[in-house]
Amino acid sequence: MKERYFLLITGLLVSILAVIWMVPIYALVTTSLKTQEEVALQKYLDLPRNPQFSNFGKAFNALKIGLRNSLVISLSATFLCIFVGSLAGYALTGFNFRFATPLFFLIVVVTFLPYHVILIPITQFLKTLGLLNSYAGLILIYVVLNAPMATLITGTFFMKIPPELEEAAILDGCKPFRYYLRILVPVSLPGLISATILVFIQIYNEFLLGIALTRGPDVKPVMPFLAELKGTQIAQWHIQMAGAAITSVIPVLVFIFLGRYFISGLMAGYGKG
Amino acid sequence: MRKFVNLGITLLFGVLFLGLVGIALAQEKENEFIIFHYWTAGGEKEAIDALFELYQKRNPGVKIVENPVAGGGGETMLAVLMSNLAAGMPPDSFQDHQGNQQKDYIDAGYLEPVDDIWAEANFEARINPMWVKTLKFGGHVYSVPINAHRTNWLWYNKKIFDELGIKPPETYDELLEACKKIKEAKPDISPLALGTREKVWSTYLYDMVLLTTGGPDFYEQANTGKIDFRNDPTFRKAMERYAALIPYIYPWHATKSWDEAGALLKTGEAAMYWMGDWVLGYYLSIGMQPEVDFSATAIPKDIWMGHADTFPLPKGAPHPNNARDWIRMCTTPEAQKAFNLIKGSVTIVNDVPPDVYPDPYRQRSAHDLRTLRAVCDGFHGGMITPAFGSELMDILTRFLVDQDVDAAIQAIAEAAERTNLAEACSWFWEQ
Amino acid sequence: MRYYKFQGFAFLIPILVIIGIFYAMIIWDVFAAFTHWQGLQPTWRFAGLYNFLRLFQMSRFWVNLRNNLLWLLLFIAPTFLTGFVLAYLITNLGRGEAILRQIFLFPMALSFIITGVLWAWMYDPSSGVINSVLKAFGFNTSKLGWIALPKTAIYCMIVAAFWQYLGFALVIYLGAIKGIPYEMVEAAKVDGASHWTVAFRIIFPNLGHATLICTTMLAITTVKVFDLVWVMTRGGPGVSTEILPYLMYRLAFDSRDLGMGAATSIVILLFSAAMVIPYSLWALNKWVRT
Repeated sequence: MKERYFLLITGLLVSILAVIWMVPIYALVTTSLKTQEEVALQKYLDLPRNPQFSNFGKAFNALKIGLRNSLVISLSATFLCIFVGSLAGYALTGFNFRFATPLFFLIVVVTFLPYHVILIPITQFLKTLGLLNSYAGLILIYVVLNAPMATLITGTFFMKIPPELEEAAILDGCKPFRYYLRILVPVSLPGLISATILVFIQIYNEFLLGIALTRGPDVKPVMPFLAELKGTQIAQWHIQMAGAAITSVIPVLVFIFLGRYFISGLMAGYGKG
Repeated sequence: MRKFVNLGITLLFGVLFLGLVGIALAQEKENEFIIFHYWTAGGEKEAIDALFELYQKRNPGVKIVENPVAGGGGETMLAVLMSNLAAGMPPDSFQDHQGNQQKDYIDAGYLEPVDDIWAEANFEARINPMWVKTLKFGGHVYSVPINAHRTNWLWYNKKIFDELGIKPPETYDELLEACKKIKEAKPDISPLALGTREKVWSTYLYDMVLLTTGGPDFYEQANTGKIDFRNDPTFRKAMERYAALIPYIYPWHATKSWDEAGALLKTGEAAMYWMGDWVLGYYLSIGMQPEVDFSATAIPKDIWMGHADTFPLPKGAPHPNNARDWIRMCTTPEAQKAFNLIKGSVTIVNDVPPDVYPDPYRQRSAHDLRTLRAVCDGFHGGMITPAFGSELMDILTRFLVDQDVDAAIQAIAEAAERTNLAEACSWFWEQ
Repeated sequence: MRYYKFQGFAFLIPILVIIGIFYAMIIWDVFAAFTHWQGLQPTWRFAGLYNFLRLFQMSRFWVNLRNNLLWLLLFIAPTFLTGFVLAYLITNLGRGEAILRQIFLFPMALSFIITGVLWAWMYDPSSGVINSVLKAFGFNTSKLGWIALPKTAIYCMIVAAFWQYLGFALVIYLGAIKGIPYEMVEAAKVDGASHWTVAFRIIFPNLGHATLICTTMLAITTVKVFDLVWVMTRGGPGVSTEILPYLMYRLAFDSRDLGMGAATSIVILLFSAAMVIPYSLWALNKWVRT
């Protein structure tokens, strides 16, 4: 009986919390459907009188090139980051290198640096490689900036893997890369997924490099476009909020897609003994 | 799992291929015109598009590559420009202001003089002499201004003014009077709106009290650090006047952007707004009617204060001829008119008659610009240095909360010393 | 085995190249901190500790440091603790996990450009969401300035960040909890343990690696939380919500003083290293190597 009460109360609490969590989103949605005049009234809880779905059309038109670019850039860069990072995480935790711990810390410290101050060397670096204003250049920079974080997260998850697992694999004559691919990755899938989510968000939502390293709209990611929607000496919040809703679709899809692997990964986890 | 990896590898190759294509494309020295600006949406975008159209007609073979740099009226622009310039990749032109804002680029050797373009267009004779003072450095000019935004406008809710029988203020004292009257009659309204989420607007009021307390000469001296901030009595009086206004200012200004603060006139929470002429376009877009819902008056009425957006010529621009033609084009009345009619500012050249503007405010602005004494506003106009301005904003937004005149004066004096304000502005007086 | 070690080392090559590049840029940054680079032109004149001294003499710097410490203290612990509790409760409920996960994770899908504005609207004292709701319940909100008042502004921002990052902590813990063998929990429950005991005495201590990840990620966020500060308040009112990364940006680009900006970034690095390394060593020993 007590348990029932507990479940009921927690269910209620969690639901209320979820509703509270959605309140800012509610403000986003109502604003995205208003006219500029209604937005100026600054009554964020009020519903729009005449939902302006055209706002979404306008926003989408302005954003579509950016969406395409962001898809290419973010997905590739994230994949590379996780790949490089998890390999490195495995290498640092599974091989007992003497330099593993200091190297790990070198990597960790680097994740704390706000990259804005090295904007200039970053630009110079890409310029010498001739990769300014190209997909490859942006992907390269995002990988450089985020792979350390990917290493950090995946490495920490890998630390939890019991060594018996690896020993058994080696006894079976399993080569490291095969072990990585066939055993380590499936077992630590929740960890990898979490790392993927975080890295993807960092890359997708990034704004400054997307402007500084591009010329013109050809490879510009979507966040600079989103920032442009509001305008500088005008204020089109309604279009920008519609744009925000549109741009958030991609990460949400990524989350949902990854969520499936999250569950299946847990099933494969060592929890079943 | 396999599928995932396969997808990843395919993506990878696809991307590498695209990247290589990108490199290939970049190598071609296309006939382009690369320009950075921050007029990114709506009316402001239409204005720059009008200029692009004109330019395209003059130069049909040139591909215009515009780089809108969104982000708070120029903050991001500087970071992007700095990294591009330091990496040796200047654009063909970019949106800049004047005075100290532009001087940093010149000191770093990033700009090239355009004296010949000015001479060709007889530009100096066609603009208010104040602009020449703030655009000429060591005898050379490096850019062409495209517009003139007036910032000493006081916008007010006409209905409230008519109701309470208030005359539109034209001096500081009349402004304070109006504030008091409004507060008495309608205690729920804030007489003066303000938005300091972007802190720079706090300096607009600072400019106003300096200008109205000491006159234009004092104003210029104060903003270029030529006065003894700690001991100057006029400066103290100006700060006290600023403090006197604070009780009448909308209390929650720190949460509002400039447009949200302006909209308070529509929501009925404020009665007056001190802001530049771009707010006119905003008011029109939110359904307010000029001379019915709102009107505007200039304080002080015998001075034109404002700033201009300019296009400089970077040194080593990738397509110098295209860049120079753009700058040349901007000196023509045709281009000035095309841009400004849509933009909401007025032309900087005096040879476009004021009656081309559809609204009375810009007509007045254009008329005043060609007849009155003019000064540049502090931050955007480049009277103060960006470094000093950055600190001034912090001091003023603090001052707006604690109203401590002594602390503010002390802090401003220290900031001026720390940023070498007087030395940095000495070019202004050496003309 | 040797061959395997060799392969293992090969796995490290990409990341070594990457942090090589990274550290090359950091070295650039360190050099810049010791130069007289004020203004837009790269100036490599050696300046000794000039920038650092000027930085430490600014009272603004110490306000920033205090703000960073506040973030450290008030953001990390509540976020991961709430994340854990929420994960436990949701796992216990047994249903709705998928949708709840998406709801709490959604804020992370939003760009900071948007989140900053949304929360500025939430906190708007006159007609913002929070005050409107409070007014509806009959509270007097005339003194509640939230981010308009220097005293409360920074706490409001921490709440906004909490809103954004709770989902991440939740997801990490959801995954980690599922890794706990069911028998452990069963045994405790049979012994009559309350939920509190089960959660904090049995499950939580076994989630050391998840907690380590969470706290490290959240710590990284507090050091980097630049974007939110930029959009929501620009560090205002005054400098009451300014934090070191934003100070760095303002010094480098707004004040056009890259020397001081670089100096600030060095301070950030040292601050982080001093914080992270001892903590991780302690956490590694306590939680993971068991």
